Amino acid sequence: MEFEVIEKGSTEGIAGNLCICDDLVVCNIKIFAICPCVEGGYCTNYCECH
Amino acid sequence: MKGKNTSQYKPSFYNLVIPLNEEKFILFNTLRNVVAKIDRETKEALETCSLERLDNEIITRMKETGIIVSKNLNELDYLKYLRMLHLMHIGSSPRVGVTLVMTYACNLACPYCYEGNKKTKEGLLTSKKIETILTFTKNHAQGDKKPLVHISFYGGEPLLNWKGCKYALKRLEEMKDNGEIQDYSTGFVTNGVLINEDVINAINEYNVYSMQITLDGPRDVHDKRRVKVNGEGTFDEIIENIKLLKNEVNNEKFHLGLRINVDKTNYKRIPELLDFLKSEGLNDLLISYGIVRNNIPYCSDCDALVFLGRDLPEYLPFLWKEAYKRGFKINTRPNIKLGYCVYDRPFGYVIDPELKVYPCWEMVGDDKYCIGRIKENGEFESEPLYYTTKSRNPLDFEECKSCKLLPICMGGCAAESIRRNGHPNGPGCDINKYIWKEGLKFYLMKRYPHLFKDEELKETLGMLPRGNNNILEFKLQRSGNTNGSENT
Repeated sequence: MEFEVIEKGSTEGIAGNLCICDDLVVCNIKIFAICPCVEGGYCTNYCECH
Repeated sequence: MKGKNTSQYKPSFYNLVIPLNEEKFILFNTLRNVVAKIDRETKEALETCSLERLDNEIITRMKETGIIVSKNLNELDYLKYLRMLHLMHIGSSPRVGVTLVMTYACNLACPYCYEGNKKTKEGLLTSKKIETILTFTKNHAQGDKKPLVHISFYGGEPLLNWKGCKYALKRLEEMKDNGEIQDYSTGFVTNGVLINEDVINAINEYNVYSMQITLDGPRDVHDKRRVKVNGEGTFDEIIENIKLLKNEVNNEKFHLGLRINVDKTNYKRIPELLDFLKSEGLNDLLISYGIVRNNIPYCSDCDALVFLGRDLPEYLPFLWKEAYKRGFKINTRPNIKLGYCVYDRPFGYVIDPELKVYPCWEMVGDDKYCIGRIKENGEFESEPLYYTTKSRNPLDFEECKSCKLLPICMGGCAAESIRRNGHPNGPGCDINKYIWKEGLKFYLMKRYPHLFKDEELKETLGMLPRGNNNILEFKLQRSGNTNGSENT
């Protein structure tokens, strides 16, 4: 029986590092999504932009 | 020890599974953004809600990571709560996102441009009008809290109104220095033809953090699609300007993104473009593929040319592979998002040279989507549609409420919903609907190659992943147990 967490997300509210800094995320179909983590650095999403 | 007291838990509705092989699977929870590796036994226990079959230790970790949740939890309420926090954050900071249509005019005449004949609209955002808009943004202060301002320079071609762009940058810097705003950031969406030393200097001097430039294929392909109004190609000029940016920009926060618009007519030629860029030392760019859609004005029969959603799993992974194996950065991981775009974002505006306000980039210049205007004194005069657009809430859409992808799609594109449903308040599913599995797997292969067989890595990525930093990082995390995870 196996359950191995590879990437632990975080949506436990602001204190739990939920990424809420999406200012720069615009429509990712019409323009590339710029990493929302640029400013706060508190995002634990797994963006590959940087 | 097998699970006890599991009756109070249920598997999360937002669990999704991708097979790794016959016995192993990737579990992706879209609500918690968690990725885990499970075996068949665990998968079946979750799928059949037989949590009593799981070890206690696994149950504890599944609770911690949201893979199983309290039976009493309505996860949609949880998502609503997160979205509310997100909107509060934007409102209380406050964060103002303004897209400036510097001019509708464009020096190119790309056949697939969705702005169509809007490009003949006259007018510029003059210094006076920009001042009015900056007063409007400044007025978003919440008591002592001055706004954080993000400006996207857009068009038409924004650099045709470089004087206006430069004025806006200079004034934003002054407003920051004067304490009228907290801070600002800016980005450009440009065809890249008009970049020069003056633009480079401004990038270095001001908070210009991003620029998107488009190339649509090798020279002969690009020069048929990205053409000047007089029919001339633009490939060579754009390449020179990308080199200029690469060599002369010293703003560390600046990111240059390469947009490649793809459809069935050009996708096979993209590897040639990538080879060329690599040979020119330009393969450190972040690439995003834009899927040309059948929303092109005057084109009534584009279905045969554009990729439909169902086509994407066949074509897009091929394009990812071709970019990755040549060293380009490419982002494919589906991620939670709590707002889709400027359309329903509080304090999000697209403003044109007439100071009319629109909810979205695709709707600019179309009066039926005008949501207000900025008056000369910087006050906003809203149209009734303003409240309809800003209250768009995918968590109210029946189809979205029952969709496991809602946390990573957030209702998708309003303009797409108009095309599909005849109105914006319905699903406008984004490409994740069709390609989330492939995107997640591609990402995992790059970052955690040890999960996959070499043959599979070579087939999907075109090579074995570069470097092993991520593997090392992963091993360190595991040894420190920061993820609370290890094989059981």
